[in-house]
Amino acid sequence: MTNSSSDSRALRKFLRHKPAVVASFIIAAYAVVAMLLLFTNMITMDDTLQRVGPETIPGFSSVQNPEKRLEDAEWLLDRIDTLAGREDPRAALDSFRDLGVRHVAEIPIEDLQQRVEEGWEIYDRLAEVEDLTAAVNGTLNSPDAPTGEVVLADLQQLELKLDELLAPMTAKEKSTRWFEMLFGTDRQGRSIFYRSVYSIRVAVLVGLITGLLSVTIGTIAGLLSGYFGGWVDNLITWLYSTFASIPNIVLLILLAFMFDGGHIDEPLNRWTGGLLKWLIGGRLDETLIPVYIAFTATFWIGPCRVIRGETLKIRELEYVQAATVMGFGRTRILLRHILPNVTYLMLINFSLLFIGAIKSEVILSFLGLGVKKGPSWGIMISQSKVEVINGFFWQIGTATVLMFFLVLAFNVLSDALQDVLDPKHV
Amino acid sequence: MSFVEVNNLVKHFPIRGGILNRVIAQVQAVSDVSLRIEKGETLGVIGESGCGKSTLGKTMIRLIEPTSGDVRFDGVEITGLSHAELMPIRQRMQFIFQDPYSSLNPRMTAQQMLAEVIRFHDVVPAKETDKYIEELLETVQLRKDSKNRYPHEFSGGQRQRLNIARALAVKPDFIIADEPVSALDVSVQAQILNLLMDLREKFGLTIMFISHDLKVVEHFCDRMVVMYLGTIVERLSCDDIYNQAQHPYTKALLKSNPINDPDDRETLYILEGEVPSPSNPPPGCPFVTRCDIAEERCKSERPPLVQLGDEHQIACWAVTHPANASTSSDAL
Repeated sequence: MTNSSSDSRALRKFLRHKPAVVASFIIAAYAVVAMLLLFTNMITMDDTLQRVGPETIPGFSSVQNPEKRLEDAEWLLDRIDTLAGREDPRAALDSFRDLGVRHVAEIPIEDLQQRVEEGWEIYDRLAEVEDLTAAVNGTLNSPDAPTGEVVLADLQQLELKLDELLAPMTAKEKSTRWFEMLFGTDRQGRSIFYRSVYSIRVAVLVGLITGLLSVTIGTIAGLLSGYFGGWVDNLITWLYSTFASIPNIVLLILLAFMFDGGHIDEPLNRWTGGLLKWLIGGRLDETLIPVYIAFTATFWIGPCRVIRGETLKIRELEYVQAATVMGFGRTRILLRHILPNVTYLMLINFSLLFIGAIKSEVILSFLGLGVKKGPSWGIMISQSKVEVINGFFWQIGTATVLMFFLVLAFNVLSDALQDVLDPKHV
Repeated sequence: MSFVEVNNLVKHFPIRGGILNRVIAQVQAVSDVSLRIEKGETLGVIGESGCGKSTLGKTMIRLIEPTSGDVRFDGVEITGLSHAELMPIRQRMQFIFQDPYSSLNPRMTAQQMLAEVIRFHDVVPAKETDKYIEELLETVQLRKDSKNRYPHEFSGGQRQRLNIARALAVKPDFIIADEPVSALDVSVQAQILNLLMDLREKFGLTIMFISHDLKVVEHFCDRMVVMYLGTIVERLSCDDIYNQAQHPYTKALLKSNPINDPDDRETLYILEGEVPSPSNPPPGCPFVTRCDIAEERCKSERPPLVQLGDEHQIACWAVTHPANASTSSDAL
């Protein structure tokens, strides 16, 4: 149905719905990022696992306290000192950047050791101060304590010394560094920005695959059971009632154990004659397969019920009877006269299932049942349990905000779709 | 042999209930109906809601499978035919539905809808489809450029014209019109009836016209049958129904017609009582519960259709074998 007036009218109505248009742009942005993550190496799994900082570094422009700065400096100094003392210090130092930190300056080892020594001197001075924060604020009570200015100057000098130890950054490194540090790091020093953005990939994969599978299965089952009735209807109704009675999580645990250790990508690829490999290039996360199956097994029930009901209604309408009088076969009636009148339900159900799947995935990953490899918003939230107690909110914050915008946008969109596509709302 | 024959047609719908979902009763929608329709004639079927007139029409066209009895169309018995065998008959028999709002697929334009029918039955060569669609629209007095419009863009009357166009598209001989005007405004009703009359003449159609409106039937049809609770109680010619009608139910229908005079409201006759449930009809005459001339016999014995005049049959003990008359004739 190209260029049909009913569809163009629906489009006009949709465009008038401003929040829905904004929501579609947000969803499009997420989709673009997800595609880039799936098909290019914009951010790889290694990036999300690599250490970019000593440990928790604040994001969201929070100011570090002096203790934290000193700790970070100590970590760096200690690393370089240890490596410089090895038998082949140059090679050891080169391996330093594998930790995700910057290159060490290309200077003779003696000079390097000299600078490390100087660094330790300043460090020792600062380590003697009883309470650094209090000292900086000038609220330290003992009379012989250094003033705030002195402590601060020492700290800055120490950081400058560390900068001298490290090679100057190129422009590309600078921008990469900026992204890495945008939302800070977690307790293992991994970039929260990388981890949270990479999680979009998992979210969209789970949402898209379970959404599409569930709607397809649900539509076929609903159409058949609604149109043919009799034993087909009884069978499908029994089937979905049975599936609805199994708790999602129990099914998931079961499937997770079933697929544990087994390599699913391989046999699946062989079975489809290499189609899978060609389609996604082995990018289907095999650890996610239990998630897809468990979600689809329970999610198809929603669209199936709705479409069965609608089919039952449409089957008795006079235009279907008119088609029967014309002598049209059942397949033609089902595909040309009933299916087009339930497509709006498929769209609405898909948008509902998409967010449903993402939310469930986050919850399951939080419980340690969902994503097994790489980051996910659920895993990030789960990991930030300890951090939040200590006041480090940026990990849980970033994961939640990214998920919030995606879910909200889809909610707004599915609301608008119901308004626009449901003929009864016209 | 008549063009369309219906012999002893029965349709019972089972009512299921209980834990085991067993049949606990039967709705006797159509019980033992026989009809003859001659080629080119228009037969009116009249009766109140729920009397089984629509079920009769839908059973005749095999939308509903009959419980027993048979339907013959142009000499061919169609009740036992398979889907494929029925195909050529489908093209010759068409149905116009009552509700112009639910009888058109909301997702198909007029063009798509008509083209599907025409191509499916290969009514005209593929190249002439568009031309034929325009002709059809013209025939039912719709504008040619309305063919790309969706059903919701048409008014009720226009939708009913489109329904008629769809029925006509396959060039049928026989059309069953199931209350085609009852969902329309009175002014539009007249337009659609006039259109149907023109088309009847133009294409030589045989029509079975189902209605509850006596005036419409009187105006539109050659003969009529009156149905009550699944059976035919009277059949008569439409020429002079006011003088001819003898059955108390037909008379009640005639008397209940609204009168075009606000001062004369008092004389409006309203039939007392309720229609008995079709799942449990009275054993005798179905009308006995509301009849004001009912006799003892009417309660136990079902009256047969008796020939009264040339084109007049009636099923009523009180009219054909009145109790008083029979006793007097016995005395003689």
